[in-house]
Amino acid sequence: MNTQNQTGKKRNGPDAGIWVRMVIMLAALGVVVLTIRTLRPPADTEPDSPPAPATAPGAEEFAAKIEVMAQSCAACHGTDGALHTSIPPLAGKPALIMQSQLLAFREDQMPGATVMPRLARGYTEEELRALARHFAELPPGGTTRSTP
Amino acid sequence: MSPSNLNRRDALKLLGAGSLLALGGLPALAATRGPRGRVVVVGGGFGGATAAKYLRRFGPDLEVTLVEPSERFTTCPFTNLYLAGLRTFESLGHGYDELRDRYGVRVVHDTAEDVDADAKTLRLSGGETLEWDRLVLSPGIDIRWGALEGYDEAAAEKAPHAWKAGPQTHLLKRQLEAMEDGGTFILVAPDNPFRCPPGPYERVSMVAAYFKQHKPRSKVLILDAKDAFSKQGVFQEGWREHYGEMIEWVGRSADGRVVRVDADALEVETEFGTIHKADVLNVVPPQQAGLIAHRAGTANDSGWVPIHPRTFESKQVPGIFVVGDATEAAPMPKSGFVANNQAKVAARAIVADLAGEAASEPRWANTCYSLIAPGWGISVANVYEVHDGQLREVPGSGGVSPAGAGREFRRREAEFGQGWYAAIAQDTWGTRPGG
Ligand SMILES: Cc1cc2nc3c(=O)[nH]c(=O)nc-3n(C[C@H](O)[C@H](O)[C@H](O)COP(=O)(O)OP(=O)(O)OC[C@H]3O[C@@H](n4cnc5c(N)ncnc54)[C@H](O)[C@@H]3O)c2cc1C
Repeated sequence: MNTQNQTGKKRNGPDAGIWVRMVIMLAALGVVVLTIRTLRPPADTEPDSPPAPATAPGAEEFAAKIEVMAQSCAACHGTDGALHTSIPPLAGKPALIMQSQLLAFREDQMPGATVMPRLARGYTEEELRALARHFAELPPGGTTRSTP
Repeated sequence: MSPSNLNRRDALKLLGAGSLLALGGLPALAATRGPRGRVVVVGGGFGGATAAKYLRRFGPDLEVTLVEPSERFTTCPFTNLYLAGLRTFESLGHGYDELRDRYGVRVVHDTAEDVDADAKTLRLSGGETLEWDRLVLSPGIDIRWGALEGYDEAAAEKAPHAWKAGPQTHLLKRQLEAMEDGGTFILVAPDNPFRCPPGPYERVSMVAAYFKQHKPRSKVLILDAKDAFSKQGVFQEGWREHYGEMIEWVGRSADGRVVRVDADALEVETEFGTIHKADVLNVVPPQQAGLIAHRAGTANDSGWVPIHPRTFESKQVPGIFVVGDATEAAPMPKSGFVANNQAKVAARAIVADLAGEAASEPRWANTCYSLIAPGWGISVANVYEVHDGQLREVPGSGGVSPAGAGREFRRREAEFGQGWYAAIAQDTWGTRPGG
């Protein structure tokens, strides 16, 4: 078991719920989405840049675990989370938005949500944040573009 | 063969490179992209096709061969919708072009006959013998003919199981179409474990949807070897809502367990001697792991394959990884979603194994949607982990759609079910929705 999993159980503080709802509302207006999209460099500009150095013991193991875990999501969101259907794609969406949504699912603070709260409770907060970062870095629609 | 010196950080970069790989075929070769080795995968269904694709994504230097007899795989998922007239049979078929052309998998259309685990070879019916460093088996289920008295292959031509997609599915549909209004459809449901725990109950829902529209005086009777079933509360709520009294479920303690089938007379006999006569008889019989899993020595007396939960390597034969319905993986259900997820964990474990590294801590998800009526869907979702060497549900996770959730919730889950089908088909075979 990774020691980082324990820290993942910590709450964000009493205001986390309000913060989460605020971000979601802004996202609905498209404000945050557009801002972050323009600030964030495209994910594939530096394909050969070295990975970030390991900062904590177990960091590499944690990253490896997240890489495999993320592949589960493809069964509903398409390979690399890039498929558009009645289920939204994940690839290339801002990490901040996805993190707040995943944590809101986990805390049952997403009215009308269906399966996602049941699934999000299967992961620690830290894992959900890392999964959001994983999908944010993937090119939108990258792997599902139909070949001509 | 000697695994190349691949460290974990390189491996992570490679994982990321999977998306590049998918974009333009295989990227130009770098010296240390991953371990080398030959992996043969048997079965081009949910588990096998996913394993082949993800082996190439995780290990771009692996030689991956997929052995599957048919050139087009038809999914069991959504065959119930086909029976109701809500999907065409063609829309449930998926080919192997993308695995071959985009992912560089060698696809061999043949049947695996026998495994020699010492020589590490696989013999095919066509005569070819394949050598492997690691073998993956995802053969799905076989029917245990004769385990239910009177139910053999000849009986299935009169009382179809339709638990593998193909001629059996067409036979059942023709029988439903030929039945007179006012007839009785009987579904015989098996004891656990079996392929797709909610499947029999979605099946009767879709048969009832067809009857409601075309043969409204007909009856649906489920004779069950169990006293409880998957998503029971929300299934029964949906049945009352849409079909009133049309569907009747008889559990085991109410004498629902069928012990004998007379396919000629379309009659079944229960444990306590009640005879039921059907106009259309659908028997979902006892099952076991596909034959090749037995031939390989991986199955035990239960008929299923015990696995090491962290990697899905066979407990009985090292070097052989088994995924999907063939495995003994409770509490995970035998679902296409689970087979797809198990295949990814096994593919990653094989790449780590060939690189001389330990597999990372796995987690698997499952979501099974069932359609009760057009626009009325329900789901069960879970996350699984290894705890003390055993598979279990992550505590606090998972669950079934809430009871009494209302029309809008059910409509959205019906829609998500459609999205799920498109996504898992794309992720497994790379085919576009409906293509
Ligand atoms: C009516 C019904 C509805 C279902 N609905 C759902 C659903 O909504 N969602 C869901 O997740 N699951 C659903 N399922 C379950 C799903 O179909 C199975 O869990 C899934 O197919 C298991 O995948 P698998 O790879 O183990 O086997 P399969 O998908 O059956 O693939 C096995 C493949 O192996 C091949 N094979 C077997 N032996 C050999 C051999 N010796 N050599 C070469 N090839 C071989 C076969 O030809 C086959 O193509 C449903 C099942 C049924 C019956």
